[in-house]
Amino acid sequence: MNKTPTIIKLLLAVILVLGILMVQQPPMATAEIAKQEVPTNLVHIDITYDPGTKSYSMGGFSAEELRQVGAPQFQDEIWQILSMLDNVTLKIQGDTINVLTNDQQLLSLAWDAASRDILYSLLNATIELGDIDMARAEDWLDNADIEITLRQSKELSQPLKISLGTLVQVQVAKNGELSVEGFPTGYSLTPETVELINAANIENLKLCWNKGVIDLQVNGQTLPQATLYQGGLSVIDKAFGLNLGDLTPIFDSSFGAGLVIGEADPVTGECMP
Amino acid sequence: MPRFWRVLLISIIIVLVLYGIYFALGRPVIPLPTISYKVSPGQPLHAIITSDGADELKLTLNTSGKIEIASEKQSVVALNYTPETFGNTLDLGERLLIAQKTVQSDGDVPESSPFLRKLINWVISYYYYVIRFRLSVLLTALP
Repeated sequence: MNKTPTIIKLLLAVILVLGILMVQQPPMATAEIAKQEVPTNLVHIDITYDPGTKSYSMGGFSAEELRQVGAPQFQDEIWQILSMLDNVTLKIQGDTINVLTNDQQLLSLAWDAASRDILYSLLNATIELGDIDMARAEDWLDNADIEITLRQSKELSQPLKISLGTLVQVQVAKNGELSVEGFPTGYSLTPETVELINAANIENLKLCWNKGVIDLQVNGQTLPQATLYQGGLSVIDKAFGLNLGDLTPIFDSSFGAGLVIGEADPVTGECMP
Repeated sequence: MPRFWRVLLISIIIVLVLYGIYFALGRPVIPLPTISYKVSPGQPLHAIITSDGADELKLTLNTSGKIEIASEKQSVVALNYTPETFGNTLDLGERLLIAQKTVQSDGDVPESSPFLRKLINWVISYYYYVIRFRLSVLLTALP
């Protein structure tokens, strides 16, 4: 046997081996992800207050930090009421609303779909919610876990816990006015920015923040996933003197927003990982 | 068989065998030597590099889909991409660039080159799927 057929045989053998390697699928976990029954929207807000100094802390932010972002100060009448209470907790969980004062149950209300319908009817009679807003309210409140705690204490409040599966709908009108869930914010984009967005044919954005991980879609096209590290962000904070403060509550939270420009359809979907 | 064809065939076999081994190993990222760059005081990057006291910032491009900026002490930001998301970013960047030029009305609207786009996409895909490298740039702040 001459050398040529041997080389061809060798080549065929190599191609065969590589072919087998290429078609091999990596072992994949095929176990189905257990169906999560966690609430879609979770909001836990802890507020501590001190009637002596008439100051309060909320969601892990100190009184000073809240003042810097323009948080309102309470009137004396409110401080008088608060000074009579040690703690008040409002819990909306599943189909019930519970209000507790000083660890004793004060009241409990049904919060199922039928009860919410009555509430929407009452609200609709006074402020004309409209079908769309009622549907949005149901998106937010169905299967929500909301807990607001007011505690008389000089301690810093517990960090904010926010995990929102429902997208916050933000709309930019043709003149640049921004509204959130249909409510005008009073903020507007500059005409140049609106013109640029329109010229680039950007119709919608979907932004998801999950404990530092940012997922962004523009016109439904996914962009690279960015991860911001809390420690690393402090480097940028120091370098540019941004005074961002303690970002722990933000880095413990997850939420998303759907931004629509002009008359485009609302952004759909959720942001849960 | 002529000598030329024999050499070519053997070369192809060697390349295939080497790539087969590389593929069988799970296409590990091949690290390239780190490029060092000194940043003088006064340059815009100097403030960022020195802000956490480490005086170093490392930019790492991993062609398997990760770009990371890290100081000596901690990671600052990371981007995870696929050829598809990279292409989407280029597409968005291109549209924004054209839109900016159009809005500014300076009459110099850049033309999109389909060939260049295809070439970039091909290069990104090649280094993502076929052979993977890690390229690092180490920025050091001068005192």
